[in-house]
Amino acid sequence: MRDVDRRSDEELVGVCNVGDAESAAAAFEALYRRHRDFVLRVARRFTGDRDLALDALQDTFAYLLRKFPPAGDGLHLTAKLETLLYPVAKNCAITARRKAARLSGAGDDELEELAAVPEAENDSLDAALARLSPERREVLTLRFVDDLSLAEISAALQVPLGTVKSRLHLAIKDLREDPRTNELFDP
Amino acid sequence: MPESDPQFENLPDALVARLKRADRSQPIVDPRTDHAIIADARRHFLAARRPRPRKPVIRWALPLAAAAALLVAVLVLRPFGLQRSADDVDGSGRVDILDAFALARSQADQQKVDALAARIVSLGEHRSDL
Repeated sequence: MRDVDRRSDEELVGVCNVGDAESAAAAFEALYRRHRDFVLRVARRFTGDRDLALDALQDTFAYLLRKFPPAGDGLHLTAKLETLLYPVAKNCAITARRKAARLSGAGDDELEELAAVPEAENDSLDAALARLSPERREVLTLRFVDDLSLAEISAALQVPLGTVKSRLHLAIKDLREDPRTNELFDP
Repeated sequence: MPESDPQFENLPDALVARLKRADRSQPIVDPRTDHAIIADARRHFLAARRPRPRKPVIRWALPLAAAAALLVAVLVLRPFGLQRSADDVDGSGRVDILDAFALARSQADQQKVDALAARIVSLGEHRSDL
């Protein structure tokens, strides 16, 4: 199904839950095409590697697929699908990265952190972003790159809303105080 | 920006643009992965939605048929089974000395009462149920 499906995620999920085989498969494909890039971005953030990100993408949608009958009881969306996909994609990415690290003999240190911001050494702005703690950068990215609301970030990270606000506030404060980014803020 | 709280809207555009650029600079396209995921979904749903066995129909049909048969049997047999004996004066479902008493209380002919009492006695242990 290459055309843009105008049905909402809730409608597509509903078809996956109870529709006949053809329409359920088409609805799942529409969900996949709609959210593939988001999942890939998340997977790449936590793997820093194209192939591992693709593995995580496949694992994430396999997880989603198992939510639907006959493997699962069906899915009832209570929030944006991204808030469900985010922790799954993150975990799949970390698992893929951990496996790859074991195979290559690397340690497990900091595996749950975000992968490094690309080209951080070559650019002052990127370097400032790279200096943020992984938790703060994660919230900042979900907020300003993925355009999730604070409540959605709270659901995606499974942390209290206050924690999200705090991390975001501190991330912005860090950037405001960083001499490389300070001048970009209003006085 | 989806949030309306101004406290969280003060990230400069240059930084937002840089964040997005860092995150989206290398789009990953892999038709093989697309194909694998979509094929998995197709297999999953085809397996999930094979024609359903008729269990739900059978589950309801059998008790319904049994209940219907029972109802028919009761209706058909009832006239014969429940045919009351003329001697069952008190309508108790059995003919016994109480029927003779009931007949006596109804001020019926004494001969009829005596006859009934005699029949009841003669029935002996073969008392007549309905």
